Amino acid sequence: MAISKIRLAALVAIVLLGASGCGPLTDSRKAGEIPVHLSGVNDSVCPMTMSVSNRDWQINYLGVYVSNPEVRIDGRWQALNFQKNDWQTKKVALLKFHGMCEETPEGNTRLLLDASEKLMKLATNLRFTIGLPFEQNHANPLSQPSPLNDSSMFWSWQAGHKFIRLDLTNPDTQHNFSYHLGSIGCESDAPVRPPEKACAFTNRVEMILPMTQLDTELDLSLSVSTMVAQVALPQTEGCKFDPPSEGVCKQLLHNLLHRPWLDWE
Amino acid sequence: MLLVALLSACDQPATPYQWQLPYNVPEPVVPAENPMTVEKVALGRALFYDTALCRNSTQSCATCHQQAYAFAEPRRHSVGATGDKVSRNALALVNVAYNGNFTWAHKGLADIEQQLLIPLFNEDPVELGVTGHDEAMLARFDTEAYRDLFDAAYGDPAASWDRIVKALASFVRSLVSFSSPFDDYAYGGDDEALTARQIDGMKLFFSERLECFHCHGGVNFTQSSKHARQALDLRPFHNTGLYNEDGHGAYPASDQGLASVTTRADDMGMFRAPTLRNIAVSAPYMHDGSVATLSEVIDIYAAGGRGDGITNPYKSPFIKGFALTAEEKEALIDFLNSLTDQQFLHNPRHGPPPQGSE
Repeated sequence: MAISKIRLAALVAIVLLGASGCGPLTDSRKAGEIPVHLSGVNDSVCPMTMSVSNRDWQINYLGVYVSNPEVRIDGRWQALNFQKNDWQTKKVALLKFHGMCEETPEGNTRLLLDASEKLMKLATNLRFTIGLPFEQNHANPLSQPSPLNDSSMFWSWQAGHKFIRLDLTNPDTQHNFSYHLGSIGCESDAPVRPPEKACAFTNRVEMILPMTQLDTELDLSLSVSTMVAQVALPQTEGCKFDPPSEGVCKQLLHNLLHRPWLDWE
Repeated sequence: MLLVALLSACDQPATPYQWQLPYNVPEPVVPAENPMTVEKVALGRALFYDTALCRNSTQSCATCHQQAYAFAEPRRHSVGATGDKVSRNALALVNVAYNGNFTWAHKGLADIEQQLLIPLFNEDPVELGVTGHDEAMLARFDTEAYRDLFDAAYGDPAASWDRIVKALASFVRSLVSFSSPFDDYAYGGDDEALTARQIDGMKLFFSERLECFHCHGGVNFTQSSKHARQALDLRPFHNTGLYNEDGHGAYPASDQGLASVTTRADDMGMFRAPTLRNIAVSAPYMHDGSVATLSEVIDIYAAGGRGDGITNPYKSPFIKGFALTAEEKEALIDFLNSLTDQQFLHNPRHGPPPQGSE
């Protein structure tokens, strides 16, 4: 059950910036590099903080798997690869956000596509999946390359990985909220046996974002408050491994599908 | 100088160490400045079991790290060579080569070589008590047997503390355990390796209801882990709600965990999640050895902490308590027992070297 999502974000500002050619985007970046920034989050402290409905929340953990990037050129989808590094395989990238904790690596706040500037300039859309393909999701963790062997993003062979992991704490009440999105209803004999067929709810989210031709210096903005919009955080522990058909899980998935939680900056 | 270096290299016919890891288990990350060799592991093994490495020759590393107990010891806390109380329970030396962090709570130790300086040179408390006696103690290794071992390992028969530490680190790295019934089932694909009840316990272990695997996840059953194909930081320190002395989250002043190292208030009571491999034989449990049995450990986690610690504001959000039937608890303990690796516990290569070899 793949879930499609097409949004046409406002692009005027980006167009103007790109056309001017001398805007604030003067830092040199690699071809195919797409920085991902958190919006509405103070990431200069540890842990990171944000405000939702006038309440402060600490972000203890935020990780997102992105897979199967594609661009549309002349109306046809063209598959791309990520550049391989500790945070990316050819088809999978892990975004991970940490506050400025001492001795803590910054995590990974960019996607690095294996694509030339020329190719990116021709693209009119970027498509990718939030989540992992079935094969990688349920493969033997011992044989998985980084970042697929990050145990903090892994449930088990049976259930696979967390596609999104968001852990929040209210510093005043110590109330915790977690959103762990992944495939649900995966059948096998044991947690360390992979399922033979697709899970009842795959819970992958397909994202399609418009691209402005000729502008290759695009940044993505990830809004945690938009991810949890219309969810009464103080009244729920969140959604972990629960079916997406009801309650908080339903609203959270609705947000991923229909609200601009990940968009061009 | 170059000539000397080349000659030295020629004098050191060290044999690269073969890990012989089962089931495609990834090799650990080994510091480039201390590559694993058969000769260094052999020297480290001799040193590990030798009381000559202790100021008053009353202890060896193996005094507090006993193979039968997964290289832990069956007492709440260790006692140093001069009688000092060591505040923490001796950690099991199981797959230490894969550790992302060392000791119960320290962010600043990059590798085993650095950690080893603590039991060797620590003065408060004194453990092996080398400080102030280091030169005199080095002379103990000026024997024919040790000269041969040092010569084989380093191409030079002289002992030095740097060489001792590197050899000990190499031996400790060689203590790997991946041959438990769980491994046979999970990675070997042997459906008969676990009982039905152990599989039931495994399902509980990996459930969101119990949350065990959030901190004890991955191939080494701890997030404080890395290997050749996994180099990412996983933030492995947790407050499990064992204490709350002042109602504001304080752990006993004698040991406040990571906060003692970082001085950050938020690190109060945070300790590293140890591996659960061979956990059934490494009682007692927790950083201070204050929990005697696995059954009691599970009771504490089921209650969401212990006593006042349940309301500790620094407690991990995963320690929130759960309900467990008696049958489920037995199944969970059965599963934890399946992580016991008898080959590891009885591997003669991990034991004392044969008499007369050092």
